[in-house]
Amino acid sequence: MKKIQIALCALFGLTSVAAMAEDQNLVAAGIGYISVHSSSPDFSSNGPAFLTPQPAGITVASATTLLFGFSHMLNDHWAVAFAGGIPPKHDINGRGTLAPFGVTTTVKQLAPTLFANYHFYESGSKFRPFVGLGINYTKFYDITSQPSGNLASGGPTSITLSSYTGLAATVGMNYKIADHLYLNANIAAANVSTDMVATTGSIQRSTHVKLNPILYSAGLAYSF
Amino acid sequence: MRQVNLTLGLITAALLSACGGGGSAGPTINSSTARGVLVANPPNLVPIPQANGTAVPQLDPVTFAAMLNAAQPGLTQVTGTPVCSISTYYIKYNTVGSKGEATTATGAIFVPSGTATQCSGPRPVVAYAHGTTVTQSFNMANLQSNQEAVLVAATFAAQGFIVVAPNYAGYDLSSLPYTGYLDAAQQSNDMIDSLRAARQAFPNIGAQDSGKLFLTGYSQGGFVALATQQSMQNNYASEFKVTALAGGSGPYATELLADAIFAKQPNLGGTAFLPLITNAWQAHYGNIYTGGNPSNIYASPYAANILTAVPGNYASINAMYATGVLPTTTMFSSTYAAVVANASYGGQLPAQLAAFYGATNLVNDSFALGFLQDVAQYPCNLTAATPLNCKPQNTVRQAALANDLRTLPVPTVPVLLCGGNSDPTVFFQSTLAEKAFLNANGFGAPYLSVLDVDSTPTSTADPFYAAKAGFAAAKTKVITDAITAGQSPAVAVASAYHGALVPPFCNAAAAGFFKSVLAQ
Repeated sequence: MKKIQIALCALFGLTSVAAMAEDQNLVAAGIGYISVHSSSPDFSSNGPAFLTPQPAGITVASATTLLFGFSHMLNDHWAVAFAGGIPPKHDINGRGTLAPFGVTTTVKQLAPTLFANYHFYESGSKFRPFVGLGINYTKFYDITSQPSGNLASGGPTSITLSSYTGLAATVGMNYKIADHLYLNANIAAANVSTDMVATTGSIQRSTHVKLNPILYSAGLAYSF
Repeated sequence: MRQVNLTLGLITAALLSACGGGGSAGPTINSSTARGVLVANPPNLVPIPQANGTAVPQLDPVTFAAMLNAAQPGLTQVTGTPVCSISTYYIKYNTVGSKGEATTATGAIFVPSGTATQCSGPRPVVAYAHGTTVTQSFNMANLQSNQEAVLVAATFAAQGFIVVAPNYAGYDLSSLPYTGYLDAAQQSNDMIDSLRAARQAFPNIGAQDSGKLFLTGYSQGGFVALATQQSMQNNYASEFKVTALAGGSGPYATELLADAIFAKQPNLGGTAFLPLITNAWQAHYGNIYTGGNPSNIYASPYAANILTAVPGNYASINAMYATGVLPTTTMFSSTYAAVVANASYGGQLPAQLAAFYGATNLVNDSFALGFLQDVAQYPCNLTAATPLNCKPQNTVRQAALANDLRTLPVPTVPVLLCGGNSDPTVFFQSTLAEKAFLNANGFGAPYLSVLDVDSTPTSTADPFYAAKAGFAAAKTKVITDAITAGQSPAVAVASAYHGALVPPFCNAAAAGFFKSVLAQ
């Protein structure tokens, strides 16, 4: 069951591929590095001030994952592409007074993205760069307060991160290396932010995190 | 093509639900508003900060001893050298205001642990009621900056007692817009509900309750401890079986103290206590302020801010006085001073009382004069056995009478009443009146002990030798320090007496008393 779940989740992560040549469809797989540039204000707390010594905040670390994608050419230049991957696990590090606690939380994110891509050059060209705009939906799950996070927070802590739907943009290219086989690379950026609420005992600490992720990916694609 | 899109859509939908769940479990939140419910279980552990910026879950006894002696050299000689490690928890619980309205309050639990016999296994529970504070954010769970919390943790928790210490409704993050200061019913309900909440937390925080329950507190808390024992005995006997009770410097005889302050001698800190008292009693009885406006009691400019003056956002009582929201000592006007001098002192007011009377008076003359007339016309405290057999007409006196703890039945548990005979803040007269009442109603030695720490030990075999000798040494130090600093020793002793000099010794005496009861 767990394997099936991983496999399903793996289908839709964050990347983008693009079809080319005469084949209308293209599947791709590759390595992706999600560079996160998070920013968030210090936690606000509904508890007494001395239990959240300020400045207390977090930063979200970058992650690497396997990416997958499917693209379908609508005509010679326009394609719809669905991008996904194995949901990456991000470390959330303490900032300010929480910095010495290191990784306080880990979280997985599922971020299926639907792009409309425009491919340059003619159908059948060996090299076809593309640009695209899309809609990204990000869901956070398996949000786990680590032992150091529980210590800093004062006990067992449940954490929620709200889902987010926003715009994404990509630039990329496919380079034909054999029949039906291409090198695929792209860079994608998405507008993702989330409300974080950590509950420990009777205290809720919250912040709003802008993740500003940029995805760098490279892999192989197969057309059919 | 259409089919492909549909399939993708379905898979995505399935996926989104499949990938949810997991993550770490947090506390169990109880949304009931019933009394005594612990809002979140487990409650918040208070981490102990370390020099490198991280934290540990427990305060170890060696570190704690160093912390105590750094704060006050030799303090562990009074509190006892810490033996157990202490885990501190911050609790939030449901309780009731003075009209029985649902509200929340917060507090602390100190849980001892360690390999020593007195730190492991089932432990006795001390319910501790704190003293007066004007600091809204006062928190017994804050061992970093709350000196009373530190003293209680050292005296009881580090010696193997589980401590439950409410912050009281109206303080910290309580939703009650006032505090039930010296409201016997409200405050005992608060203590009871904090204990109920703590009992819900115990299984989740490594606390094993031995079933022995001790009640204690200092100053306001001494009053609360006695009120709680009475309420438990009268109303909750099957739920709470008290093992022993110790009160420190408490205003048990509220009616007697009120009369004394108006008719004879105002008290140090009284300008802060009186607004706390009248605000609380107004919230309960509704007849203290005429039309809800405190100007029937208080003089301008103070009357305008009385309802919100205390507690407030002050670091200390001196910081509160520095804001000018209440006068430091001038309880009454000079006009009223002359009246008191004639009525109580044969015309001449003792010099040391001069500071309590002046132009920046807190209480207006018409109220003070009316109060004094009521005392003369409807006297209370006429006999030790039935001091409250009187019918005052003044509503503040009526409320003082209603909350006076000289009521029957007498306790069914051993009692220690501790204080110092020269206390300028809560007169020792209160302790002596409570003792006289209990004695006159058949409750005395060996069940009742009264300790005046400011007295000479009867012999080296005096069971309170350490408290008396320790107090004498501490008092001597205050005097010599004052002389060295070129200050008045009498003023220095008076300022330190109630809030600093007596508390460690009365708390230590309470701990010793509880241990002796356990040993029986």
